[in-house]
Amino acid sequence: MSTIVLTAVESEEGRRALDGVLRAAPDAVEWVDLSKLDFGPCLACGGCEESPRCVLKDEFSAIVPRLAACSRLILVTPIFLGVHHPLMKRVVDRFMPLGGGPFTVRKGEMHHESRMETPFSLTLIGLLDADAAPEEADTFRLLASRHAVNLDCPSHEAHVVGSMNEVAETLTGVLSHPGGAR
Amino acid sequence: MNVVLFVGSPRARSNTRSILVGLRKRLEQAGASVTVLDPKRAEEAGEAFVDQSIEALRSADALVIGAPVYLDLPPFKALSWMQAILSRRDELAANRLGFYAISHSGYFEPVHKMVSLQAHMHFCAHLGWTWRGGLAFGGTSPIDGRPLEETGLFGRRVRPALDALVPIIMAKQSIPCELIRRAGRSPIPLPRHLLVWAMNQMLRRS
Repeated sequence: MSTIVLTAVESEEGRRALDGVLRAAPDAVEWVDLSKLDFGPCLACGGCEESPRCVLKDEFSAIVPRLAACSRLILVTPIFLGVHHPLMKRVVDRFMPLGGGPFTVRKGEMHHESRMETPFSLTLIGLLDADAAPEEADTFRLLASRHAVNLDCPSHEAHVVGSMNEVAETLTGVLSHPGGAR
Repeated sequence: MNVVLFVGSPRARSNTRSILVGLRKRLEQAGASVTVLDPKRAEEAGEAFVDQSIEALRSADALVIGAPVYLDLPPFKALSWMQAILSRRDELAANRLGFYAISHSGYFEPVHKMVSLQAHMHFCAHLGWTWRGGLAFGGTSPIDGRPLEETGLFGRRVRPALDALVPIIMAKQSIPCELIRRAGRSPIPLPRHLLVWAMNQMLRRS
């Protein structure tokens, strides 16, 4: 059982709060701080429709096979327009090699087949600004459920919180459930 | 009537570009002045490009963002441009323009475009602009960056939808529900399982 936590928190205060939680996490938890990772955006070249290997070679390339093998994925992101912060979206675009090749019907919708042997359970933790509309929280929860269908996740959950302290508390709680998203 | 079109695809052979080039042609034929913002790569959308965007948006009557849907959302390129525009929203406060969104993907069902269109709505709300609606096109992969006139069956939902959209933009109106429904229909009217079988046959041949 392995867990990967991708965080798109750029503030020093935020990263300190995450550091406190993730340094104390078990060895099976891998933390990838996207604000420190050197990686390019998806070129939309379509190469991953035929091959699971992305043509880009950078610091994220080595993480893709580990994503395909992990049993739980946790994304921690400030909420921007009800969805991922652009830094998180830059990496989510790079998830495309996880699916590809033939089409299939999943939950009554057309999708590419998953390339993951055992797809991960998915948890989204979003930090919502005080001045954001409540509808953005609804969009974020909808995003989690749509990602779960797209990535063929066996389970998913979404948490929307209002401060970095709450992000840290929520992450601690999520990591304490060995089974992942409920 | 000044209309700004933003091309949100990072792809060289872009279906978004095909759709927006088709829209530009129709808008110009209707007498609109059209500015196309089209950085080919996210890296090209630097400060100078954002300056150019702000300048165009200051005098625009309408903005249309066209973007593909990658994993439920507009790609990084489009989202980061929206972030850059939002960071300078004070410079646009005097112009409450009308905002339209076009989301599309190779998958046929409109549900794939739902979150993306909601993100566009939130963008519009943050800027205090007027949301005039969004169109969700499915099955756009076979357009393959070609002019819409050359896409036959695969452009059969996009072409008439753009024909209908132009007078709506020119009249500063909202997109009617009936047009949203028509645009969202699959261009190939086959049951889903048969469609998937046909797409996989095409995939094997290519």
